[in-house]
Amino acid sequence: MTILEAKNITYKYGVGTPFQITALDDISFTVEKGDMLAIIGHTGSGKSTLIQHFNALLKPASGQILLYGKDINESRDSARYARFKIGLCFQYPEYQLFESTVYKDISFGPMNMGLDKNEIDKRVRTAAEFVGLTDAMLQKSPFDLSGGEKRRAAIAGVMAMEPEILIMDEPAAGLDPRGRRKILELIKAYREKTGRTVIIVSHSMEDVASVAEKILVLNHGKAAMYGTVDEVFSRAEELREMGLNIPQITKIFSELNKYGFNLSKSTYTVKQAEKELLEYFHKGAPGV
Amino acid sequence: MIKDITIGQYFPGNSFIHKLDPRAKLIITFAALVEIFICKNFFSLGVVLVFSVASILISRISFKIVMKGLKVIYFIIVLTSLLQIFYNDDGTLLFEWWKLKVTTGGVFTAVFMAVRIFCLILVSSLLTYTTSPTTLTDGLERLLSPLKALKIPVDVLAMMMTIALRFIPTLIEEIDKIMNAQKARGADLESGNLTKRAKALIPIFIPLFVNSFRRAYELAFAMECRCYSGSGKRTRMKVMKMTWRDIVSFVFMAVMLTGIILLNHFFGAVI
Ligand SMILES: Nc1ncnc2c1ncn2[C@@H]1O[C@H](COP(=O)(O)OP(=O)(O)OP(=O)(O)O)[C@@H](O)[C@H]1O
Ligand SMILES: [Mg+2]
Repeated sequence: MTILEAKNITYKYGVGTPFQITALDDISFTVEKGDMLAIIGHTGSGKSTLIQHFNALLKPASGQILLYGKDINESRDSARYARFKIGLCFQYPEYQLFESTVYKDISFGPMNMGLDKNEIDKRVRTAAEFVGLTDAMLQKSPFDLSGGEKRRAAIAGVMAMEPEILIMDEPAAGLDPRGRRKILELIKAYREKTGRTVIIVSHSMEDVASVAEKILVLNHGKAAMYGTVDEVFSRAEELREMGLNIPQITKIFSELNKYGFNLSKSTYTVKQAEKELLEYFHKGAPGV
Repeated sequence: MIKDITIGQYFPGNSFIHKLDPRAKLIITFAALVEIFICKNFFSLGVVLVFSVASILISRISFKIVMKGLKVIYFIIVLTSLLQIFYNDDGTLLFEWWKLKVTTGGVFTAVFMAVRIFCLILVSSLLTYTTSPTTLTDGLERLLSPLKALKIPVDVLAMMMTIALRFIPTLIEEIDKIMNAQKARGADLESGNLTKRAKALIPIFIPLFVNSFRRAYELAFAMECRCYSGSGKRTRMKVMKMTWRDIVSFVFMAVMLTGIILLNHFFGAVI
C-alpha cells in the first residue's frame, strides 16, 4: 500500500534575490508502507530540503505531497495531522534538547499530541528502552549526556510520538564508529520490531547498504535514481559521476571478479563478504 | 519571515561603491546624512534624492531588493508624513474636517519629510549593502583609533563588534532550524493566547542559548590557541589604501555640499 507520494515537487530558496537557487526540481516518487528507504546524494543535493516537505515544514513551490492519498498542505489541520503521522528527526538533533530532564524532553512530542499521562509515560519508557537509555539517564539533564547519548535521546523524542513514518536526517553523522554502528543497529531493530516505514538520509554508502532496502539518489535537486539497493549499486559508474561511491567492499569484490573470481555482485557489507568468501572457499573455488 | 529583512545584509559586488575604502565610505555616508539633513527646500532635496537613487544604481544592487528591504520602513514614513500634514498649519487651507485642518504648508512638509526619510534610509542601507561587516568594523576601528590615546580599547571593541555581526546570520539560521525541529515534534507556535505563545518560545530559546554559549566557548578557545590577546599589536592581512575612487568621491561630496548650501540660500527655506 502506498503511504507517501511526492508528486512533481519543486522548491526554490531565496526567490527574488540574487541568491535564488532551485533546491528541488520536479521530484516524484512513492513510498510503500513498511519500506526502509535511504535518500542519498552529495552535499547540497537537496536531501534535507526534501524531507522537510514531508511534514509540511516547507511548502513546495509546485507539486504535492500525498499522505494516504491526501494532500498534506491542503489546510492547517492536514499539516498538523502530517506532523504527527510523520516523525522527522533533524540533522544533529541533539541541538534541540531543552528540558530539565531527559524524560521530560522525550515526552515533549507526545505531550503536544495531547495524550494522557499514562500513555505518555508508557511511550517515553518504550522509546528510551529502544534507544538504550537507562532509567538513571532519564532523570539526568540532557546537557549532561555524552554526544552519542544526546543523539539517542533526541531520536527517542521523535520515536515516542510513534509516527507511522520515521524520517531521520544523517542519524549517524558526527559520531565515532561505535556510536554510528549503535545508531544504525537501533534503526534496524526499530524497523524490524514495529514494521513501520523508515526513511533515512545519508552520505555514507556503507551505512545505507547496512540498513536500507530501497534507495533514492538525489543529484543537484533532481531524482537521479530510484530503486532497490541492488539496482542502484549496480550503476556504480553513474554514482561516481555524481560524486558518490559504492561501498568499498563492493568495489573490492568487483575488482576480484575482474581477475576471474566468481563472487556475488551484490555484496555490500563486510559481514556479507565474510560469509560469501567462506562459502566460496568451502566449495573449492575454481579460480584458486 | 525573518529572512526577508535585507537591511544590514551585505550583497557582494564589484561596483565603484563596493570598491571604495571602508573608511572613506563611512565618512561619505556620514557626509551624505548631514547633507540630507541640511536641505531646506525642494531644489536641494531634489539634489540629494537624485544622489541617493543614483548611488543605488551605481552599486548595481537590484532596486527591487532595496525596495523589499524598505517594506518595514514604509509604515514609519507614512506615519511621520501623516503627522506632519495635521501638525503644520501654514499656507492656505485646503480642507477642514472636524478639528483637523489640512493646509498647503502641511502637505509640503509631509512630502518633504517622506522624501527625506526615504533618502536617509537609502543612503544608510547602501553602506551595509556594499560593505561586508568585517570590513566595516575594520574601517570603523581605523577611524576611531585616535581614541586609543584616551585609553579606550578600540581594537577590542571592534573585535567584539566583528564577532557579533559575524554571528547574526548564524543565529537567524539556527533559530529557523530549532523552530523547525520543535514544530516537527508538534510544538504549536502560531496559536493560543499570549501566555501560551510565550511558553512556546521556551523550547526555542533554551537550545539557542545553550548552543550560543557552546559556540562562544569554542570560539574563545580557538582564538586563545592562536594566541589572540586583546592588547597585542596586530598587523593586517589586507592593508587599507585610499585610491583615486575615494578622492573623487570626497571631491564630489564637497561639491554637492556647496551646491546644497547655495540652493538653500538662493531659493529660500520651505522648512
Ligand atoms: N535556508 C536556506 N536558505 C537558502 N538556501 C538554502 C537553505 N537551506 C539549503 N539551501 C540550499 O539548498 C540546497 C540544498 O540544501 P540541502 O540542505 O537540502 O542539502 P543536503 O542534501 O541536505 O546537503 P547535506 O548533505 O550537506 O546536508 C543547497 O544548495 C543549499 O545551499
Ligand atoms: Mg542535509
